[in-house]
Amino acid sequence: MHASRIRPLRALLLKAFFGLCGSLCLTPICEAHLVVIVSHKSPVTTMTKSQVADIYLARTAQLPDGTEAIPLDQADTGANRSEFYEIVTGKSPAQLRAYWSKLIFTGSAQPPRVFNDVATIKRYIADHPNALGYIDEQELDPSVKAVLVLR
Amino acid sequence: MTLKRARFASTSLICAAAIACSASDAHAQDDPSMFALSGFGTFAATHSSLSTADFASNQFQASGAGASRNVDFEDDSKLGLQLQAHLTKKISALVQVVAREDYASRFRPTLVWANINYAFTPDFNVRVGRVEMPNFLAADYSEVGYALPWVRVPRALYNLEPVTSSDGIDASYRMHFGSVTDTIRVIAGTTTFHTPGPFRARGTGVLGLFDTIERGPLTWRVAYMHAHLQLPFGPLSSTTVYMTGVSLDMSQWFVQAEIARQTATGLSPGYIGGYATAGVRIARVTPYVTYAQAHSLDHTTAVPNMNFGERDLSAGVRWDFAKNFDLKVQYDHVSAPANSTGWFTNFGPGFHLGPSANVVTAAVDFVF
Repeated sequence: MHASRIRPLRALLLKAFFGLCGSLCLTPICEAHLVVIVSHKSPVTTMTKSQVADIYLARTAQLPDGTEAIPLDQADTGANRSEFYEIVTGKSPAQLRAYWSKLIFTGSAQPPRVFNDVATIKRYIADHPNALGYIDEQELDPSVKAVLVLR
Repeated sequence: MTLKRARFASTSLICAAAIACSASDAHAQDDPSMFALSGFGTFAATHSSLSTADFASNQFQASGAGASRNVDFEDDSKLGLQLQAHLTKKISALVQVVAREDYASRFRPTLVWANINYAFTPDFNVRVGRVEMPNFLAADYSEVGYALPWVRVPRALYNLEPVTSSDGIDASYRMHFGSVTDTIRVIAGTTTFHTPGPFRARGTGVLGLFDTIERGPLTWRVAYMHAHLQLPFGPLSSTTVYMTGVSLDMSQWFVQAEIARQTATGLSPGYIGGYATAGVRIARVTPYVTYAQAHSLDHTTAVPNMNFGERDLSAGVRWDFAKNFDLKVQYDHVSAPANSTGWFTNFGPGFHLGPSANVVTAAVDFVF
């Protein structure tokens, strides 16, 4: 009886502690954010959510610097992909599949290329100044740079 | 027996789709290949309570559910295959074939689109061949059930201009103003189509102007289309469609509405048609309601035409039960004014003007 009354309180305190830590995000144990990345060679330094959304939804084919964009997707089994689209476009995976069938079956556009692992995405982006992708903040390295942090 | 055969057909379709899905996933890596093969389909069963006429999902179908069959498996079913080839960075080709019930009640494949695209820039494209006509918001993907919120496009609007392709040339130019994308498209060509019965009609001098504005979840289109229609009988008709439609596709809900004015001198009394639809997304389930109406402009016709409009009230639910599959169940109450046949067809003995029907449809849509 006594123990069961304590447990919810402790859970609440733990939640409050980690919640605070998450919002400050000072230490690496905190939950990392997704970042939109381009090559370290790219002249692009920052992008807005709507610029990224327009590229990933094939409404524009260009990066802010005017070069032709090559957007890359993570595997659709991973959580990163659905989180990325949820934040950037506000669309669920099922909504996106319906959206893409409209574009594919009118010949308007093909969906972004899919790479199954982050190392390949980073390598491809590092080599292609007009490619862009999204990875976990913790996976950043000097070959790529973040142009947008997704919160 | 028919039911058994239909079940078998659906199972084999789904199996084929599943195999194709896994196959395309496997090589969705690295360099994009030159060819992209994709497909879509719907397996549906449609029932209509009206036994003196048929409810056909599309104006070009010769029969449907009701008088001809109690449950019709062909009314809303279709299967489409598309091959797109990226020949060079600037040149691509597209061929799409769709099998569905046709003007003679046969389940037959039709060459829907076949064109070659030249991209002068990523925002300026010119296509030659058989291209789609986006007269309405969903006109160019109206066969792709998976891309639609409903079992079928609202027929009180989409039947006003059911021709979805033109043979000729098409140019589109896309502009960007901050977060707003504006795409202007011009189509010029001719078109040939079959209406139920042995009638082959021809549209010449097809001219279409379309402007689509997109910003985030908002899409807005304004369209104008004009053509000369020649049926094997009757006068040369001049047909014009003006349309505007808006769609707001949020993560938790959507609303969409379209309105159009159609005239076809001598052939049709002319209509103002439109619909409004709204749906709510609750996890993988999306219930929706739609109201559609076509109102006659009462122009005199040279050929008998007793369709002075129709009203459709629909409610349904879409369930995204698996990746690239959905299941929909939709109920429609279809009724026509007292002087009108509506878009019912195959009138049998006992049919009266001003009919009404309750239509129930179950459909599985898939893409691969």
